[in-house]
Amino acid sequence: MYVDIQSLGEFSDLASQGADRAADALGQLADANVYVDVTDVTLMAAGDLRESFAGREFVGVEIGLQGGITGQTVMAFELDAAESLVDRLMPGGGDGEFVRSGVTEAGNIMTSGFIDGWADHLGVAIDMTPPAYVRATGTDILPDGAFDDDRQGVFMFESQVSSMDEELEFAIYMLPEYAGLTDMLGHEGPVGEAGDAVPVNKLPTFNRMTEQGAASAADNITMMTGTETDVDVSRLRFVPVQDVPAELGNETVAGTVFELHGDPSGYLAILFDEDSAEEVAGGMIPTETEPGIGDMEKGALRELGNIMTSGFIDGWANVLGTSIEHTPPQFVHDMGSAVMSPLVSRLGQTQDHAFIIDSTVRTPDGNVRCDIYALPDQRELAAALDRIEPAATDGGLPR
Amino acid sequence: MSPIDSSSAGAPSASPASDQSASRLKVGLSEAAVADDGAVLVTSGLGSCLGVALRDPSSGVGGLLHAMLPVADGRPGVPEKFVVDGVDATIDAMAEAGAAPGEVRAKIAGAAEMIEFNAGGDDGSVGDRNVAAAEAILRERGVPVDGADTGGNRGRSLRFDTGTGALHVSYAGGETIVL
Repeated sequence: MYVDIQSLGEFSDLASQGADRAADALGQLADANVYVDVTDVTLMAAGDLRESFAGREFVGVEIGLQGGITGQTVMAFELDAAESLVDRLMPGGGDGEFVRSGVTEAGNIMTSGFIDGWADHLGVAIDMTPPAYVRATGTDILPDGAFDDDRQGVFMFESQVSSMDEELEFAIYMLPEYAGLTDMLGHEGPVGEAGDAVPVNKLPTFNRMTEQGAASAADNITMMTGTETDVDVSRLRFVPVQDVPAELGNETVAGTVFELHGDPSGYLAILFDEDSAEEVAGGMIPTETEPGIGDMEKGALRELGNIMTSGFIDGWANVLGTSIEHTPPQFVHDMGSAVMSPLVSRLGQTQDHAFIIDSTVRTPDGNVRCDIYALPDQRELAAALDRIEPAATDGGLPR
Repeated sequence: MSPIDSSSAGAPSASPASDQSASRLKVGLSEAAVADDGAVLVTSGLGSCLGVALRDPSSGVGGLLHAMLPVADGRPGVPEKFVVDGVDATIDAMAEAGAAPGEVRAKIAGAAEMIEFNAGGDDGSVGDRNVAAAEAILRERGVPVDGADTGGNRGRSLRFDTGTGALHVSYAGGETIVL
């Protein structure tokens, strides 16, 4: 099953406009400037979504669609976020009934904005059933019958919302029924030229391979610093290029950036928060050094980045059956979003959306956190995925 | 979030109503915002990107652009993704909000070279090209540049006080200068 990148991009833009309208409405209610920092599309294997949603309580609305898109769509907030949002709107009002009406209202605005945009785009009518309030734990929040471990994956639209005026940060999730989405965006075979369409059934395999690459990168941290580490999560997202820096925020990070050459080409960034960077670098330097990130620490982080990158891209190259080379490490120590901006500027010359593959490596005590971001050329990645042997796909799923 | 209080960082004193009561508007990457009510326009994470702050002192209308690349030239994306196209779009939007395009003045900041790329670097860094593009289009539009903090290898965040025209440029770690 193939999804052409242009349609996915348009779909992502409409989801993002829907989220903008919902944020505007929430902002008016809360009398604050509320912004959507980024709306991304994730294709997750069912098992990964189960893990990521495990134990989290959600409230939202479920809407049935007929016409240009068919199936159920759920729009959800985390319960905690919805409660504090409602409490902000009417202090003391964060109980069941107000949460229910506030969430229903926001869900309605967001989904209708999205559905109207999509109907306009397709030039067809889409009928909606009235929104039904839902409250559930974990993947039970997904549309009825939409979640099935045998499926290839789940499309999830996630919008990060924040405010300039208040400490307000939450996510809005939109989870359309997989079949409805793929019926609409999918094609049996490749469309257009090589690299125009993503073979979505191979994405979970690719994600799995990325996780393995990240695991070997994590092993390298352990080997070189003596600190135990694990890969926490690995996600493949599709976002407008200009939103990539917002994924990182303004916190200061330290680490290394690499250019990748081969199939696919692109960029890899291995970034630590400052404390983590000092801690891992300290583990590699036998002597005591001044506090902060000095020349010794820079050298250590470069060496570590080099080894992690080799492990990471070897995993990719094996699965994709290509060879990928990387440049020597470039040390970076700055705002996360600023570090990303030259990378997306370069990708942005030829593409409007980007695949961003984000793996988080952590120590069990949470003291060290490292994010590995891969930004492959979108067409080269799509073409390379298409060449993955079906056997690799079969072997990768299900868990 | 770093709790930097730059309200005392050299802002002109002739702006009694500014800052405390002014609303703050966020400008994302490949976006611009325009204000005619003295709002503070904020953008963050400028690496190789360029921030262009525009203001017509007579009407008090100001705008802030956060552009990624020099010029569209057929590339995909909104005008605000590009310096040249974005400056024109922002000046148009300011004119609609009551600015006199002939009176507009500019300050620019950003365009660091944080990473030296191997591939395709024969025509200069993106940052350098962004600055050159801004200088060219502003000259062409007759917009004088009153201040600039560009280049180097550090990222920047900007706060543009459209009430006073002060452009606060912050670096990672908290250091702030005012243009």
